[in-house]
Amino acid sequence: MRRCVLLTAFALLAVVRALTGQTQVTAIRDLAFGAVIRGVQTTVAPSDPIKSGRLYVRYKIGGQVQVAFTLPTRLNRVAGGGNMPITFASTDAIAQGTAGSSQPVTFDPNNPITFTLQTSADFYINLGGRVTPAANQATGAYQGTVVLTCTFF
Amino acid sequence: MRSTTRVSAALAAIFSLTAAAAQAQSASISATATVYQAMTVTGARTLDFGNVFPGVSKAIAVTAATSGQFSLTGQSSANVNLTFTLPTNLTSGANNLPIGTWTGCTNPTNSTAGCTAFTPSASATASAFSGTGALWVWVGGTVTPAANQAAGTYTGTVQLTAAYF
Amino acid sequence: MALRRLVLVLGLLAGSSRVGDAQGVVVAPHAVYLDHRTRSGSITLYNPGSEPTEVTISSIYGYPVTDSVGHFMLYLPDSVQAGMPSATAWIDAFPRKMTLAPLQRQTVRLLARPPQDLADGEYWSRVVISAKGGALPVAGADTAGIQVGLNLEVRTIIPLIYRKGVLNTGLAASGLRTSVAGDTLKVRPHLERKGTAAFVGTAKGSLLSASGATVATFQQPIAVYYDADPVFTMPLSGQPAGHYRLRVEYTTERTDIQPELLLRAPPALDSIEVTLP
Repeated sequence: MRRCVLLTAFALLAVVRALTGQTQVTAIRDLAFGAVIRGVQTTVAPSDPIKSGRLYVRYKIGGQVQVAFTLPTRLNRVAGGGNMPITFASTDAIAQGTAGSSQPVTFDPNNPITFTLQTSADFYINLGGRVTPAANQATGAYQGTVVLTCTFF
Repeated sequence: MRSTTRVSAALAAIFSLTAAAAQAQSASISATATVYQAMTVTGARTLDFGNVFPGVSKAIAVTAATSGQFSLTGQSSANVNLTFTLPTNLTSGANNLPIGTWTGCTNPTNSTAGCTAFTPSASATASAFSGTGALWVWVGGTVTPAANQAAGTYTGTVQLTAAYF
Repeated sequence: MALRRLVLVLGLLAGSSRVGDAQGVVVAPHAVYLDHRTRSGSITLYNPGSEPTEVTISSIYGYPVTDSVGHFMLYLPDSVQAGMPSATAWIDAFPRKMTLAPLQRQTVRLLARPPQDLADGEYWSRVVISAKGGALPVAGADTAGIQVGLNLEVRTIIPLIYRKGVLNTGLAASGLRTSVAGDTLKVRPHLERKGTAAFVGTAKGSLLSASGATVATFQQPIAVYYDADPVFTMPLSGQPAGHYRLRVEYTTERTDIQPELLLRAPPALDSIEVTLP
């Protein structure tokens, strides 16, 4: 009985060690709206090859990954003294595996979603969004933080 | 009893390891934007003389419903210079129709009431945006058809230059 | 003599024959700053209208001055003389010509190729953005089958400042005088730029009553490249006759320009006693 328990424990430990070695979540590119004009809403599509935010996730084929964004609701003025609304629509995120046969999946970054990796062990997530500066929005640089949390099963 | 305790402890360890198998990792990116002040110059309404009769001059005042109108937006209370490139003739094929006696008017609101009159020309007219960054400009003029002016549709081009400091 | 009707429509600046069918181009930022280290910058163009707009980019040399009545005017020398701090000859825009579709944005890159022996200092130019709308049909033409095209063009001129080396700026204010015109107080200072770069900031005026209360104010963005004698106006509606004190402060603050682009300097202050009739 004791041997059985120990063997099970070691097996599970080995599984956990393998899990840790295969997982990766890496930031690739910021979501960069660039020049934004006072009073004019600016949108970045998730398919934008330059301005969209981009992250890389790696796990294993057959595994499940739950992705969840923590999204800002406002960007803060770097020099202080103001902020600007930022919103994300239900189609502002795209997941795309690296295999040639992988199809892009558009999803809502406001809600967690779980992917089952069938053709690729890794995939990219692109993020778009929109900012809405007021007509009297203070000029200057604004910044916010987007966090992607992946739970691997 | 001691074997039972060991099993329980081992099982607890197994369950804790099982829970740790669903692990989470995070990464973050920044969302960035740079807000700029913009300047806009828009032609809001064409100067329309409508029907004109040969030998009969026709003037469109800046206050007329068919006067030319422009809207500008920029930084509140900022100075701006306005200059015009104006035709001396409207054309329809080989036919010319003289136009002149240009009149102009500016106002920080979208109304000619109380507007500041000026003469549109290549010389700069100093003006300024309102406290909300708006400026309206109206243009009128007079056409002088000859008694034997040919029928047709006559057109021309007016260019407004807005210079910001 | 049979009266013949002529139909005349004069096109203006990307306008159309219908009210509300406006056309123009949005230009941002309204002032461009280039640094010698990067030698590049950009402007964003945006067509908010419903028709395509042809846009052309060019540049000229000029700087603001004030006329005899205190209005800021853009001085454009006929030719660039040696010693003039002009950057016009060595700054290019890419692309120079484009057509913006409705609601389309376009980034125009500005690249500087200054002379190798360029001395430290600030150099100036003006970017000219010309927008031309398409030919528009005119309703109500007297003769059937005649099409009319209207050539509409608008130009926006914005300042471009190129900086090399460590620069400083400042402003000396003197000769402050006032006059009352109706219900407006006209304020006329003499401003002399100090340092090696243009003074870009804001003039803020406050009219104080005998008790020290602020009864009227004005605030205006200013750009002083050399000397200037501007006129500022302050509303006086309802202010009773009497003695007041006018204070004017010139700061390097601007809400329309990114803070990191502004050269900072201590505020210049001036004040004068004012008697309202």
